[in-house]
Amino acid sequence: MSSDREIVCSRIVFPDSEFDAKKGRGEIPGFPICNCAIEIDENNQIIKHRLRAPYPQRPPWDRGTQYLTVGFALGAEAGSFMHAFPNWLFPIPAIDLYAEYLVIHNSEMVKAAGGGSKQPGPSLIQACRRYGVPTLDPDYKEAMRELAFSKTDHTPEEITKLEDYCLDDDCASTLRLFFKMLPYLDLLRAPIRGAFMMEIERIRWRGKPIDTVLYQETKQYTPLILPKMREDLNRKLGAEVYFAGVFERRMMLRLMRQHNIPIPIDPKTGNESCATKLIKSMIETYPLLKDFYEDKRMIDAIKNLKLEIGSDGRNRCWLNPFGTKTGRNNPSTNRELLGLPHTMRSFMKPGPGMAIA
Amino acid sequence: MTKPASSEKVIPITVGKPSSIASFIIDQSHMEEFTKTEEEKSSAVKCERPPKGTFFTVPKEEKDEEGKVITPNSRLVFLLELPGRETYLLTPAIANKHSDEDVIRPALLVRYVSMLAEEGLWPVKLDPADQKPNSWNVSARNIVKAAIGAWVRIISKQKNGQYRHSVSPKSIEQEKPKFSNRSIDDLIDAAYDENHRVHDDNHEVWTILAEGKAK
Repeated sequence: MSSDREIVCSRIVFPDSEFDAKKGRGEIPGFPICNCAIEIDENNQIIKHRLRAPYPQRPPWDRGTQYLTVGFALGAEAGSFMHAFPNWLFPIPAIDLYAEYLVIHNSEMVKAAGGGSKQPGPSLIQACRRYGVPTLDPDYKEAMRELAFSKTDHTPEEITKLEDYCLDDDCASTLRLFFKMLPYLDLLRAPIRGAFMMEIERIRWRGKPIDTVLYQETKQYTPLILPKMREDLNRKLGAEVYFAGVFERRMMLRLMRQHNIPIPIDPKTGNESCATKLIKSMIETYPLLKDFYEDKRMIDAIKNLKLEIGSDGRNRCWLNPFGTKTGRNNPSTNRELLGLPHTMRSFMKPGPGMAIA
Repeated sequence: MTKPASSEKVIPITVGKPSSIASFIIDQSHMEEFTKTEEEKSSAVKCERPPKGTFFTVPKEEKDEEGKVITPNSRLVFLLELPGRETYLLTPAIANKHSDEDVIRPALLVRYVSMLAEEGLWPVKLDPADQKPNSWNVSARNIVKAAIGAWVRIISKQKNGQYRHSVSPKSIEQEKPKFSNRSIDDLIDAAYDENHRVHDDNHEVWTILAEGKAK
């Protein structure tokens, strides 16, 4: 019986879908070519679900009795659910093994990245290998992904092929991975993370409205703006930390020594460094570093401006949930608007009648 | 497709209900010390020279219409310092009674706050009237004056036997100091608890001075 804080599930469902993620283009992911699931039912029997357009109102595994949804990077499935079952609520409870992996292996991933940041999250294949779970041939996987992404008018045979791949590779691998990871999962809290992983995809879909005219102008005039910004920083610091457009690290380190400012050591290389991420904690103590930090970040951001903007003028980017060592979102610092320096947030421009997004 | 045998024991499976998120909070009250504001967590106030390399400022004294100080930024006190042990705050009467002890000396406890919002008291030593001024003490007092209304940091010049200071280009208006609402007397109370105050001859510090260790 379920209590106020616990839910007893008599079935487990492992869904997966095939679609064009339109990665790096700032677009909403494509309509799912197929939505499949492996279900372990009340009698401990395996049921394979194969769904393709036209989709029913709700998936067939949602049939009254309580079930647990388990996936790997459930945000992708959340997108397919929003396309295929627009009036259906996200399944509760749900466990995302990607999020759980990032939580369980946090210390190890931070250590591997040198202590200052965290390794990128694993793919399903990488997670399976970590837990000794057999997976399908990577070449076959790549061929199927190519088939899903390269066209929109799939033949019924091609869709069947993709359904087979979806069930026998991703769903089955996720099922095996779940049972391997089960002893390490915090089952009380994992569904909170699972719900977050799906809702964050809804936020990503919404995107942020960009003043595309201003953005294009900025890109166009970047070659003219950058030298002025570099000269400005040189003037503020009273030293040529930029010479002929190139950042002179040694000059900056010398400047820090002249001002009796302690120089951080990069934990990865063991060398002295003036990297902005290492001096961030010092900028309130040393005004000179604050000027350097703000301007250097701005110069680097403008130089590498790559906001992912869709055809509707909205910025959509992978928000990288649980991507920091403290478990916060860690989106790209040049592809995601809110990852840019604060002063560049004016690229966001609400449409008529909208307050923000 | 075969499912792992372990699934036999898994179904039915009990998991947390996300809507009951509040009941899954992990007790982290032991971490509150790190999340409180500086004022909240500073139940103990440091009484030492502002750290090197850190800019700090001293508040301006507030005076009434008659020129009487109503909000002082420092207090003249008597401190008893035993090398390698803690420092004690003495009442003027008991300090006067034991004036022959050279470990007792007058000091000015100056209130300061760093750019990092760390508030503390700087015990600036005062030279006895019958002795030649000590250059460290004189330079420290000069830095206190310079720190009123400006961000400064201390630099020790061992060769010259004195402190010098560096003034930050950031003004007080640009970088506002975060003084707490406590008075200087509140800070002194927090810095010296009851065990570190000497009111009479019954305090253990007199035994230490007389016999070498407390009973």
